[in-house]
Amino acid sequence: MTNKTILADSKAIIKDREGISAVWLVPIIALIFGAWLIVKAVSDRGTFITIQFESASGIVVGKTQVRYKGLTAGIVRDVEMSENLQSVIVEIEMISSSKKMLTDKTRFWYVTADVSFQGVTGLDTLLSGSYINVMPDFEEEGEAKSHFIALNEEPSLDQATPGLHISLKTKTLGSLGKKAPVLFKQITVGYVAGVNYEENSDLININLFIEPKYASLVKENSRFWNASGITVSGSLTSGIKVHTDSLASVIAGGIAFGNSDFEAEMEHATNGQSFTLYSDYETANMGHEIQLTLNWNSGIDRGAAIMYQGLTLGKITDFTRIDPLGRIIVASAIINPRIIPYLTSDSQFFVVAPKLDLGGITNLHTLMLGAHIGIRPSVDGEPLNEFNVYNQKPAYQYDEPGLHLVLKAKDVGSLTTSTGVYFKQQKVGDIQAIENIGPSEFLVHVFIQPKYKHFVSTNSNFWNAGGLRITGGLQNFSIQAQSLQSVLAGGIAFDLGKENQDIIPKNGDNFQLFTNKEVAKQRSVFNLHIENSQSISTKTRIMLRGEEIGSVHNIIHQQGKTILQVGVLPNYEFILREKSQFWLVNANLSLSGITDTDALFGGAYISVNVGEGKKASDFIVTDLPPAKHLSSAGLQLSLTAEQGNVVNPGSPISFRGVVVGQVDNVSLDKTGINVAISITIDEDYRHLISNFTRFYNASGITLSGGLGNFILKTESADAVLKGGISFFNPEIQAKQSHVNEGEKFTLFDNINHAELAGIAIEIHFNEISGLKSNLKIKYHDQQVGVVSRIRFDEQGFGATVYAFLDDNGRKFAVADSKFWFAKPELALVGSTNVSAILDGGFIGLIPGKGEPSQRFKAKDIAPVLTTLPSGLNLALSANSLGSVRVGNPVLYRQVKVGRVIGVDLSSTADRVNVYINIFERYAPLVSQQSKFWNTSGIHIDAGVFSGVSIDSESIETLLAGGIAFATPEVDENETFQAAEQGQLFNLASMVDEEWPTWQPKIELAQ
Amino acid sequence: MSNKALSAGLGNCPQCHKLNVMHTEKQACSRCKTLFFARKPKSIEYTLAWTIAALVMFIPANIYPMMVFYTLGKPDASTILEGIAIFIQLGMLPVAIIIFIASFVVPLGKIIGLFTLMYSSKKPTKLTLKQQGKLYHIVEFLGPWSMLDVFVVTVMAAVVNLGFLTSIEVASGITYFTLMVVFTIFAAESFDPRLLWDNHQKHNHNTVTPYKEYKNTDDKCHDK
Repeated sequence: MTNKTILADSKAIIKDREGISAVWLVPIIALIFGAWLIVKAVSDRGTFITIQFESASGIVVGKTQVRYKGLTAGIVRDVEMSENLQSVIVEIEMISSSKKMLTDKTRFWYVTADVSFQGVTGLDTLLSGSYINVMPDFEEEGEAKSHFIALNEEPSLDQATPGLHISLKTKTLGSLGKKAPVLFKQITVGYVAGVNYEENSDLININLFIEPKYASLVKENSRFWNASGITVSGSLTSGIKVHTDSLASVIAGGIAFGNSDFEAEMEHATNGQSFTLYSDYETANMGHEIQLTLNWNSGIDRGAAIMYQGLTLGKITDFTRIDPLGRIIVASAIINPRIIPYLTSDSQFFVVAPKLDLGGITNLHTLMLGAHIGIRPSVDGEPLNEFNVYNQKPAYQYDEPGLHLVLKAKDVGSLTTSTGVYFKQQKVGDIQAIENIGPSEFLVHVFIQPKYKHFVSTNSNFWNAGGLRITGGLQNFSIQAQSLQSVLAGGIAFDLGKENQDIIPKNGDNFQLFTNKEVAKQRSVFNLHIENSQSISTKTRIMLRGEEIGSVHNIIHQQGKTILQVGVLPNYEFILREKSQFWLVNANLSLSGITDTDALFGGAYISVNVGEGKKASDFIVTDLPPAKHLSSAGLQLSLTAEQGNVVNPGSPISFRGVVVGQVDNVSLDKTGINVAISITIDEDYRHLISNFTRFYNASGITLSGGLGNFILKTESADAVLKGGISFFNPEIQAKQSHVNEGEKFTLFDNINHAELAGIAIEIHFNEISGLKSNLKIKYHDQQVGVVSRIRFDEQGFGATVYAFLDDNGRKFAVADSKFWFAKPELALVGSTNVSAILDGGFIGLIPGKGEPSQRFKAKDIAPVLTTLPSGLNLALSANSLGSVRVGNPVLYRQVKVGRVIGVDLSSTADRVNVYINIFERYAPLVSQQSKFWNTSGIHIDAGVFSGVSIDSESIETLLAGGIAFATPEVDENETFQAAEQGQLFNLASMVDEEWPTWQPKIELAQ
Repeated sequence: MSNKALSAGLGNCPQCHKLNVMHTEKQACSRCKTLFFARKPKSIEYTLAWTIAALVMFIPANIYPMMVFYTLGKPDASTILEGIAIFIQLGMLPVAIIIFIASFVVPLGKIIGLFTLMYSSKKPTKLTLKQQGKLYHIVEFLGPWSMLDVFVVTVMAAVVNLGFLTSIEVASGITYFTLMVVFTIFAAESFDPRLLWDNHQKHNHNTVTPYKEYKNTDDKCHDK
């Protein structure tokens, strides 16, 4: 039964709607949708490619994407090992639109996080996972490929990238790496795209990429240099500089470039152009290369700078050739292109090295920085690129402004190049070079600075002024030096030459270089011939009367003879006359005296007698002084002396210090006893000599005698040293007569004798003890004469004393004068002649009256003095002398008013006469009634009952004794009667009690 | 005699469930006056349509990813099966099983079940009536529960939104999955299980089911 039949009584006929219901749309739509999905999935299905990687670390199937410019271009679908198990094959599904770009030019590489000094890249992969980057082939030129090999790293920048692609060539990479920045004025304008090594050229090629907007900065002549790291440069002049380009370049290295200011602007660089990479900024800026040939020990090393006036112009980059055989080293250097115009054949290169010598330290900066090369540029000459480097600064060329002279020298001593040339101790130039042209010949090239040029005249003398010059003999001692520098390092000095010379020397003029200043001054040159030149050297002096006037410049030995080239000071040119005589003087040393101290201290010398005649320049030197013609100019005299070695021929005769003549000859006189000294007094001084003139030996040191003979010269020490003969003119009223040629004079031993030689007397002594020459003759303690010599009696025991009385004492040479020998006496009660202790006694004199006499007999004892010229002379008579001595005081009221002047026996010899002298002022004290008593010593009176009384007048009387007196008062009606001269009184031995009580009032003169 | 109501000329009102005397295939219920059919018209047709649609949608639902996990900006899309695989890889086997059952087996089972039911309503099957009925009930019951998966995805997409760190977005797969589930629901809804009885009776009319015969005790017709 169908449904329809079951249904009962259906009222309507219901028909089902036929046909497919609309619900079928749903599945249909679903199917369509699904089909569309399928179609879409199929059509979207990308290209499958395989890429070979070294390792699949980080590659996740289904997750790891292939990206291009950050957009997903594909996705890894499968990873599996390659067949040889060495690499990994990754299957990638790329988006379908990339199919055409997958050619053999397409590059794939794996990008993962990379943190290194080059930079930090790919950090996004830490979050998003590493991915594979693709560089598709834009031009779609290659063949289609489906299997690729991934690159190990990002490929170099494609040339097609807009911007500038250039390459740099360099030998060493330094610290440059990929992505190192390229800097222009410290702005990063690009980076290093890649680095590779070209084998055939042995250079490293660095590819640079400059961003488009900076591409125009690179010109064809831009220079690139390695700006990596920190550059520390320093010099003494510029200080230390620390320089970096940018922090990135410090760490990562970098390349900087720049354009030269002074070079022309050129076109922009184009793609593919090649440049050189210089190692640093300096090198880059010096573009020009030159070759320098260095000497063997120049001391120049790689990197040595080439400097001019302290500016660095370039530097040595490398040595291209080292030749041990030829002993040269060729180096290549780079120079700032600015000085290319100065690189000519006239320019000179030389090594500047530190010089340490006594003259100072020059080129101090090179001690720190090493030797460098200096340049003396010149614009003349042809341009050159190869130069020789001298080891030291070459001499100035003559065209350098200034004066260039050539000096000839036999010996350069301590002179070296760059030693100074001095004028009046100011440095005016220096030595440029010293050439050795022979065994003893040097040419010294000097350069005088322009502003001092005019100091040099054609007559200037140049001498070697180095070191200390100690000159002089005993009378003049001098130390000379030009400057401390010249002391240590030597130098050349010069003088103006003759005055008023307008001739300026030219460049290249020749001069002579003398060994020292003195020699330079001795310009008058002549020759001396000598047989025996043993004691002669180039320092041997030529002396004229004790003055040094020249020296031997040169000794030439020739055929057994010796020729001396001698120079004398120009002032003394007058000696060069035909008749002048030269002889050699040696020092003479003997026990009795040293003559000619000059020769002793200064060495043998050559002395000259000036003669007359024509001018001559050749002379013979004799060993002995020659005899002199009487006809020679000047007053010739003969002196008689006992000893001959007081003077030498040639010794000067001086008067009051001025040389007025000379000793010609010393020889024994005819008798053989004395020495005759021939002297010549110059014409000019003739008038000084009179017959009273006394000549004396003023030379040297005479050693003789003892205490009594110590001579204190009143002349200066100069005269002691200088020696020679002097003379002395006494002041005599008598008329002076003319002196004849050849007249004889005595030569006194010393000035003392000469001064005292008034009149000669003879005194005969019986007693000879204490007598010696140079004893003084004294009158009242005044020296009036001196003993010249003593001659012992041939029979008997006496001696005759030959003495002089000086001009004052002349008047004592009368018959009555008494002479005696006074010895010093030291006694308790009276010391007499104490001064004679030092002198050793003297000869006393009491003048008398009478006829002039010259022969005397000396008294044995001193005569008694009875009167004095002034004061009151009295005589006292006593029993015995007691302790009264000559010199005892005479006391009045214990005040010394006079003294005892003499004691003697009375004429009848029964009493003692004491002669006293009261001083003028106290003379009124003595009256005719005065009493005198002996107060010597102490009176000690002792008695049993009276006790002891000690009594003395004064200390003096205590010690030495004395005489006292008292004067009684005068009664009123009596007058005071003064004592008379020579009055005789009695000398009491003791004082009376009454006498001291007298107190008369006596007026004394004031 | 079958035990179908229709065999007794009766029909059930789907609304008030009053057993009505069916006079026509389509009549109003005597009680609630709802028009109803004795048997759903074109039930098989509709069911078939919907099932086919669901089947068609099933394919993209499994091919296309359900949702996309964005971790640190990195997208990680996964389909149902991929997700299951991930959970198995992660070692979360129970979760994987659950998802597998819920997102794969159940929908597929539903579709297969529906086809089976449709087949059963036309051709003789080995399944007993009881089994067929059970099958229908299961299908009908589980249908909506498949939407749970969709809700999970949507809730996750809404909740897991930690910005760049982690975020979830729905992908196209969920759309298809939803459509599939909806279609199976419609399919199940369109299917009239009474057809099973009809078919069974038709092919097994010889079989007398030991059901009680119910007599219509209600003599009086209350639907006047």
